[in-house]
Amino acid sequence: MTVQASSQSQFQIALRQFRKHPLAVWGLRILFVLYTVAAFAGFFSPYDPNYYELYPPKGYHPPTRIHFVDPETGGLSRPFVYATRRTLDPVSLQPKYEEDPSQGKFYIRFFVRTPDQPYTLFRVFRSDLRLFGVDPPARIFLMGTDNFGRDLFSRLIYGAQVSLTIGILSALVSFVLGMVLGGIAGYYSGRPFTLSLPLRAWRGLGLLLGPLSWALWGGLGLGALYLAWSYYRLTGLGFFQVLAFLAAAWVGVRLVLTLPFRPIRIDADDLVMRAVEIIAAIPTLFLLISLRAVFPTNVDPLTTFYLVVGLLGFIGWGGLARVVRGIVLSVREMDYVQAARAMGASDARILFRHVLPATASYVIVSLSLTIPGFILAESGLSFLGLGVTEPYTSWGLLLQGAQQGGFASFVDRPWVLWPGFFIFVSIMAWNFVGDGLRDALDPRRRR
Amino acid sequence: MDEKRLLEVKDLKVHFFTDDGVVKAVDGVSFHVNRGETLAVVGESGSGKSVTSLAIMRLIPSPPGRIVGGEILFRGKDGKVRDLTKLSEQEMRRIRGNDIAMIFQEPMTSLNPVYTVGDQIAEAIMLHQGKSRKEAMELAAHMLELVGIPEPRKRLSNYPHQMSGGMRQRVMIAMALSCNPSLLIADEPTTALDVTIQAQILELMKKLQEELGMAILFITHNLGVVAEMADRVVVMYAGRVVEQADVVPLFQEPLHPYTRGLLRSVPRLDLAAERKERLEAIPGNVPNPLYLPPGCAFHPRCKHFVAGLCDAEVPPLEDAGDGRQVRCVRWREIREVRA
Ligand SMILES: Nc1ncnc2c1ncn2[C@@H]1O[C@H](COP(=O)(O)OP(=O)(O)OP(=O)(O)O)[C@@H](O)[C@H]1O
Ligand code: SF4
Ligand SMILES: [Mg+2]
Repeated sequence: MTVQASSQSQFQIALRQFRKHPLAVWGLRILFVLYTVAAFAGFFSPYDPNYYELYPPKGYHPPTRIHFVDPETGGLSRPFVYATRRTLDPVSLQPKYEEDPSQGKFYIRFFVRTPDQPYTLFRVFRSDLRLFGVDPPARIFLMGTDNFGRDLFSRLIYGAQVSLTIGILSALVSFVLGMVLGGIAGYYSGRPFTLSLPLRAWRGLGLLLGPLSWALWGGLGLGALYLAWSYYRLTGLGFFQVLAFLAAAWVGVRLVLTLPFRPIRIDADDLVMRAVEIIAAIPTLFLLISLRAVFPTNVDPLTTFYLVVGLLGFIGWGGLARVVRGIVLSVREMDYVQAARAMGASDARILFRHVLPATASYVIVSLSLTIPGFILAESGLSFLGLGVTEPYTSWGLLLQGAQQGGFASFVDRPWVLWPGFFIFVSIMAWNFVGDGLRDALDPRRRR
Repeated sequence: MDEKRLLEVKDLKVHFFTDDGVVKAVDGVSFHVNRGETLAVVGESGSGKSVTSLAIMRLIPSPPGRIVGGEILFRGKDGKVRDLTKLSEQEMRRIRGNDIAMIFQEPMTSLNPVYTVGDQIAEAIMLHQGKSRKEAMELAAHMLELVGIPEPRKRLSNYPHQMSGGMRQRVMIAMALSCNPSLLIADEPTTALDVTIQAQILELMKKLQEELGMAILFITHNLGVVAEMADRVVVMYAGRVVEQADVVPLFQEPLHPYTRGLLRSVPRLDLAAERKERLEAIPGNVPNPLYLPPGCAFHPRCKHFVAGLCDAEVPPLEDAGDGRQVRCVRWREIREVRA
């Protein structure tokens, strides 16, 4: 009577599908490495990201050469480096660094302690153990230094903390916004909320809610008038000022004519979808920059970090909300939702148990595919000087540092482009993972 | 309300306010269900059967629909009689599933594909009975056994797609009965199943009714099923009750021309052999609910129609003796004409 299918859970099926996608598996491995290194930044970086020496200065030091061949014996040896000597090019006045074998060989040592440069892991654990290092006065700059002489490799790792988490955090913010707003829009579509009570409904609980709703709408009307007035105060009289007054007056009159007699009912679906369309109609970068301009620029770095997360999240929720709404609209009509309701389930229970889980596979995929966009957007913002600020660093900020000195600087010091390479790698990795997830979770794409 | 009665619907009116106009899907329907009995509601597609049952559950999609009048009196497990149309949404949720449960036509889509069967039954149990998950699973296994699913404990961890339609309808029944409701509303529960499975499910429902003692409101347009299941029958046409009777008298002597038409459109071996009757369909179609014919809504399709009499005003629901009711101005004359 029944077909006893192999009792595999959806998750197991998806996992097997994902494994069949080699690029996605590689993407996942790369991400694992990147995120692990970023999480244990202090351990993997040989220096403190903000450490630099005043004398001798080490600005724009090229990547340190690592030697494997002992020049005396000509045979293989443990890897070592030489200390370097700084000179100034008499023509261009650019610093030049030459190896100085006279100070002897400095072997690369592993699990070294740097008591003068301690770090904290996860903001809790203090330590000074580092994966590798060399004894001073030699230095190991795997990817060179910036203009101050700070180790670019260490800064890159710390920058990864910011760039990679901003991607995830912004995606989570936009995910929460998109899920909640899209979910509400879809679930309550066609069932408008009553947002004001006319006089005749001022009974019982309405005696409390009625005046409250009127205050809300009254405040809105007064706010519009105040806005028009301050516009006039600031800019003097003109065509647009009159227009603003007329608009505010129209809102006011409409409210006076409506409030006592009819309830104001608003369809959440309309409201949310119009908002999505407005956001979608404005070019992303322009919107980002203008929104950033609204907030002060001279706030402390951590606040800036959260500000950037909030802005990116705010910009990204629209597409997700639109699709979630569509899915919810169709799931809402499913027989099993009706059946759950007939079993006495509440709206909230149906929403969280039946409706939102139906959007899960789409949301997981779109989440993994939007993260690279956010990483890129953060880089763009930081590159323009609108993103995270010192002493925090991010890949975008490092790239901004790289472009100081114009195009010539790329030719003279190509190592400053490493952050760009990592942006590229992490974005590709996330994209592959996203593609793999999509194929794994979408039954029609299964192979 | 009479001690025997479990549910009494009085003059129920459900209207849908659509862009094209007001659809009076249910327009003054009255009937009652006694404890432990089976009441069948029959009628062609669009006659308002589902809307009536949804109104009892207070699940009319709103907007556009609304219960615009009438009462739905229901005796809860606690013995108190409540008017369901006046309950708050929260009070209503306590009744749904617990006092009144419902099974639907489509077993294939009435279960959520992403949860196991056990999960879904246990959820319903936990919702009303405050049991722990473990106890609920235990009870779920017991319910699956009750509805005749072999190896119930193993089946708990199955997903719906691993079961056949008949199995799933059994699961739906198990879920509906898990909280021991006093009324089970079954909206065409076997329409989507093939004939042998259909018979098994009906058999199961009868057996469970004997064991658990719940009343069943059975909605169908299959008169064969009615004869097998029902104690009493309500015939609906265009949102109104046109005839109500115990099942045997209704089949022996239908009073309303519409009921006669329905019965004649069902193949009956016994009658066909006796009287060489031909199978007849009722001529014409169900009227557009937006533009119901004046007077008796059945008159454009009725062969006993008399102009000026039938289309003047809506005939009242008259008592025809023996607890029978019929809504036809000419039922006495028609009774004389042998069917
Ligand atoms: N959501 C709705 N919006 C508008 N009209 C509706 C809605 N739901 C039902 N109706 C109307 O109510 C009437 C009765 O429908 P109902 O579903 O009760 O019929 P039914 O007797 O159950 O038919 P079936 O045997 O096909 O299930 C129909 O004419 C339909 O047009
Ligand atoms: S009232 Fe007239 S039209 Fe209606 S069923 Fe009776 S005889 Fe037919
Ligand atoms: Mg129906």
